[in-house]
Amino acid sequence: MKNKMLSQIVVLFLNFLISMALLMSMPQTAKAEDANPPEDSKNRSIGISTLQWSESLKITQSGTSENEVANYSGISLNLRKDMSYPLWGWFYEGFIGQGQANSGGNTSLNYQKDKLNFSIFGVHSGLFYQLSQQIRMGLSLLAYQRNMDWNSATPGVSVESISAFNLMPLIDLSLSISRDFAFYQEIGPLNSEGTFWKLGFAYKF
Amino acid sequence: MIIIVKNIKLPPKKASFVLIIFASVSLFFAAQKSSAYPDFIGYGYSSCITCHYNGLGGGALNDYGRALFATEITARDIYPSSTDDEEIGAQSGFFGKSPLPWWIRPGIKYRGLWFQTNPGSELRKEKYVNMQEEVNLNLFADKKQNLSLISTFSYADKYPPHADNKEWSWYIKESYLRWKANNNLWFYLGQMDKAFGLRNIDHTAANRSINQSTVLSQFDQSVGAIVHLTYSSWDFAGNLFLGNAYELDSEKQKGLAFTGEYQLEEKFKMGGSVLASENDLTQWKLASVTSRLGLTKGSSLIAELGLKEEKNKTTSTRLLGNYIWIESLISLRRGYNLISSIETSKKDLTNSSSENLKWSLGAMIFPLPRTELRFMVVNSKTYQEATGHFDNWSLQSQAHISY
Repeated sequence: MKNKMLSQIVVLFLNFLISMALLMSMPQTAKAEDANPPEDSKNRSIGISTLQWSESLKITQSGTSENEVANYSGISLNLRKDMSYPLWGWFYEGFIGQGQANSGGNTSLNYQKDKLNFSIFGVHSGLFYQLSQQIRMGLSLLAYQRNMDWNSATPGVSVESISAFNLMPLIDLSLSISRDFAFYQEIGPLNSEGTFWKLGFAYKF
Repeated sequence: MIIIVKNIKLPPKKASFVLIIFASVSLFFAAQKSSAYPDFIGYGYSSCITCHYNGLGGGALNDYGRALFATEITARDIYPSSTDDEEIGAQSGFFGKSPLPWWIRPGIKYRGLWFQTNPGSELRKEKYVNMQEEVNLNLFADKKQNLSLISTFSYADKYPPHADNKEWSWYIKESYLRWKANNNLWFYLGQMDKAFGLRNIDHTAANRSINQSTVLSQFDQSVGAIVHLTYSSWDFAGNLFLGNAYELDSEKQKGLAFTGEYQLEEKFKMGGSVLASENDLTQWKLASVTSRLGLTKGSSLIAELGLKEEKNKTTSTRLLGNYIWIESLISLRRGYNLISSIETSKKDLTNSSSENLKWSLGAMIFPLPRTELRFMVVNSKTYQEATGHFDNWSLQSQAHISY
């Protein structure tokens, strides 16, 4: 309970820090003598995202198997490079992260787990259309490898994750909220259990 | 002078007849009454008082707001290219170019929602809801509109919002006096929305909630007084409120709220709000930080982050929760927008409680004057200890007509 509250406070504090950084990096009102490089030259970014998704688990007990759903929630650190042209562009990104997962309560088998730690790493690449200098929309592919052991302390109950490696399409919306910061919103269909969300802020350099 | 008329109850057919008659009379004078949203900072309109009679936003548009809505927000595809925006703006009154009497500005608003949950599954359910059925009547004591009476009459069909409202009856949702002391100081006295946070028409985790999960639900207009200071770069309001006139005395949340915004740059405002209130059973404390950023013309990013504490006065149980709401409005062309609204809320930070996440993605279109259409796909997730939750889905479409 304290860890969850601490996580919430950390997230709110991170939001506060990012907001304060925004205050010191005003939206674009470029002056002729502004020495900052043009927008396109800041084509690298480092950022933090929240990841939310669900996967299937296969619970087996006494020869009976049922599918359960597991919910994953984590934070990733992203490194990204964009290639921009007048109307379009493409990007590639690598990320690593960690989080916690919960599962249980949806089968007749006795299995419930919460706050299991996982780590994740992956790559993400796609194309975008430049609606404006500040707004990009596009499609991408994201692949991730999730590392975690779903275990069961109950004798005779085994748990198998359907797939720790996944590849999915995403739709992307990128908003440059200042010369130095961007807000990314990415969502896509992961599997029958639902969507993969990746939302975050990045510092451009 | 506050007019409170309770429970004008008529059988449904008679109510419809009365509405038609009233609407017909109103149509002779009706001004266009549409809605503008905090997202419209993308057009450079960062201060609500520019377009709304209520300086904190929401409610009817003034003449200037109507013209702006017709000439900037709404598509002009039905007009020939020879018709310029000045002509379109001049036609924004319901009586066309003919001016209304200076002392009256009425209007009619309807908003209907169709939604389907669990689309494509055996558990699919559909429903149509009349979200807003309102008549607006604004009266002015002088030509400069220094003293005004702003009123909204709402029709409660099957779902009356308060104990003292009856089904199939009209009730006063808002009615307040507005006094402009000078260009920077305004006073409001009567029943109206509380001064807190971003006033968005949607039901979010913090604002206009459907099930009164906060003190800011869609029916939590409250009798009270607001003092509003507004300057070019900042504004601030204080609100003393005493509860909704239709609530039972024991239900009335009484308290104080303060809200303010500061313009850091053109099209970039940050603000904050606090609220404390209580009734016989529950005490509420809310605090939020808000941000509104205009991007390219018509596009914007707005956000509200907040904490909300609910205390049960009987058991002394406290629930400290939080919410985050982020909305992006992307203008594709005049009248046609993409909208992405993401929110998360958690009722109890200190103990185990579920975290609810929702992402609504779709289109907000103003294809014709006085018309708004929305088409949204909503994906919801729940994150809860020791329990797995499947994603929830719903499809929504909304039609909004205002005169």
